[in-house]
Amino acid sequence: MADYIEARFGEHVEPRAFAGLRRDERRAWGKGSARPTYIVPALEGRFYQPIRGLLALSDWPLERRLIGPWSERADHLAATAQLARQLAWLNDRDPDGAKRLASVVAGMARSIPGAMDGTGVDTARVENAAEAERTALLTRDDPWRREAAARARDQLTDEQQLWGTTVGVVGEGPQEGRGRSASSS
Amino acid sequence: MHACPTAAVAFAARVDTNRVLTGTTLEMPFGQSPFAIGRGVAFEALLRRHGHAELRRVLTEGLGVDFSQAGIENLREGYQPNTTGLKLRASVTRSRMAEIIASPAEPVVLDGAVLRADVGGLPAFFEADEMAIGVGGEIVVGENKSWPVVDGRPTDEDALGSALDQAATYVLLGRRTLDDAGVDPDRVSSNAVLVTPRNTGLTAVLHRQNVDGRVRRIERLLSAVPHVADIATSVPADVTFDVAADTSLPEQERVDAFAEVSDRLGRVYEPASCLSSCGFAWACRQCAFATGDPALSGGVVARALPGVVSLSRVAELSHGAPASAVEAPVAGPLARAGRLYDEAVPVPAPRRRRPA
Repeated sequence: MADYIEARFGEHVEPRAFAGLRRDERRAWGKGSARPTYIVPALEGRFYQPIRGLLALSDWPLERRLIGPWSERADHLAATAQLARQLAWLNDRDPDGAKRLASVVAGMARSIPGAMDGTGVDTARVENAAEAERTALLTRDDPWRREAAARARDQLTDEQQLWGTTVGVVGEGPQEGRGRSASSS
Repeated sequence: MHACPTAAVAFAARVDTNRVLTGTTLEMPFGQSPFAIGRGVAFEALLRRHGHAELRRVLTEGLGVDFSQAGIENLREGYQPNTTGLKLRASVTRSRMAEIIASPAEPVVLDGAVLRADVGGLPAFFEADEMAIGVGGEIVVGENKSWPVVDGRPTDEDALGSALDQAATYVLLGRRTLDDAGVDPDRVSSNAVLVTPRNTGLTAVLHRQNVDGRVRRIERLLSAVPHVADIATSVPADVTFDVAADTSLPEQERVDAFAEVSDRLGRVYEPASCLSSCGFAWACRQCAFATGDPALSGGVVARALPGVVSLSRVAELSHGAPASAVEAPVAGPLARAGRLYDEAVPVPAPRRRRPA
C-alpha cells in the first residue's frame, strides 16, 4: 500500500504507522463516532482473529474481509489487475505518474505466469494473466469465503464481525481448542 | 540437539534463560544476530509475498506437484504470539492433517504448522515452516533457511545438520500426531524439504533429503530426556539461578554465580546450536574461554579433536609435545598441521629495539 501511495500520489507513508492507525480507529468506533466507515483488520476465517498488518474497510461485505487459504493470492491478483487498468488509463494522461506506477505493477505481476514478457509492462497482458489465474482460484476462494462469513454471522456479534475475536483455549488433550470462548478483542 | 545439564535444569525449573543474565554484558541479544534475522525475515517475506507466490513456485518445481492453485492455510496470522496461540495452532494442525489425509483432494500447505510434544514431562510446541499435504498422498515437512547453498553445497555444514535435525523432529512429531488421530503415521514422508536461497541471491530453491536416521536418533534423544520430576530430585537444594538473576548485585558476582552453578551441574557448549537457541550461550562461551575449551572453535573442530582438553594443549601438540594415550589419535595429524603451518607462516624475527 505504501508503494502504491508513493507511486500514485508522491506521498511517503511509513508502513509502521498502520499499526497505530488500527488502534485509533478502534478507539474512535468505541466512542460511538458517527463516521460511516472505519479501517478495520482483516480476519482469519477459522476463529476470526484479527490479522496483523492486513487492513480492510468496515463497509466491505464480511466475505471480503475474511482471509482463507486462497484469499491472499486471489486478493493479490485482483489488486494487480486493478492497478494494470489504472496504469493503462494513466499512460495517456500522466506519463510521469505512469512510469512510477509501472514499476509497482511490474513488481506485483512478476509472480503471475504469462503476465510479463520481459520488455516492459503490457497492461492488457498483465490484466488478462491476473484475471485468468484469479478466475481459477475463485472457484475455491468464493465458496470458502461465503461459508466462513455465514458461520461468522451465526456465531459473532456485530462488534466481533468488525474487529475480530480473542480466542482462549479451554481444556487439554484431544478436545483442546474446541471448547473455545470468543470475545471482542 | 544436544544434552546440556545446565539447560536441562533451567528447562525443568521453567527458568527463562533469556532473562537470568539481563543487564550484564553476557545478556544475549534476543535470538540470533540481527544480520541473520534480517536475512531470515527477508527470505521468509519473499516466500510469502503476493499470496505465497514464491513458495508455490518452489514447491511446484521441487516436488513435481502443481501448487499454483493450492490452498495455503497461514497459521502465523491472527493467532496470538503466546501459549494460547500455539495451542490453537497445534489443534488446527492436528485436525487438518487428519482431515486432509483422509480425503486428499488437492494439495494443501499448512504455513506455520505447530506440533506438540511432551519433553521430559512438560508440554513443548514446535513450529514447522511448511507442511505440504497431498504430495502423492503424503505429508512433506519443510523448513526454510536463509543461509545460501552455493553450487549445490551449503556454506555451513553445521547449520545444514541442525536444519535437518529440525526437519526430522517435525517428521517424528507429525507421525505421532497422525498416530494419535488413528491415521497411518507413515503418511508423513521420510524425505524432508529444505528451502534455501540459491547462491548468494534470494531466489528460493528446494532440496529433499531422507531424514530417517535422524528421526530415529531424535526419537532416542527425546525418550532419554530425563523427566522433570527426576531432575528436580537430583539437583541439590542449594543450586539456584537466583543470584545470577539478581539485578541488584554487581555484574561480576552474578556472572561468577552462573559459572559456579553451571560448573556444578555440567555444561555442554556448542556454538552452532547454543548461540541460536539458549540465553546462557554467551555466559557458557565465557566459561569456555576461561578453560580454552576446543568447543569454542565450533563443532567441526571440536569433533576433530577428541580427547584434547584445551586449545593451548592443541597448540602444544602441534609443536610436537608428547601425547597421552587419549590424545594419540589426533597428535600425529596435529603435529603435521603444525609443521605445515610453520612452513607456510614463518615465525617473524623478534623486533629490534631502537637505540635511544
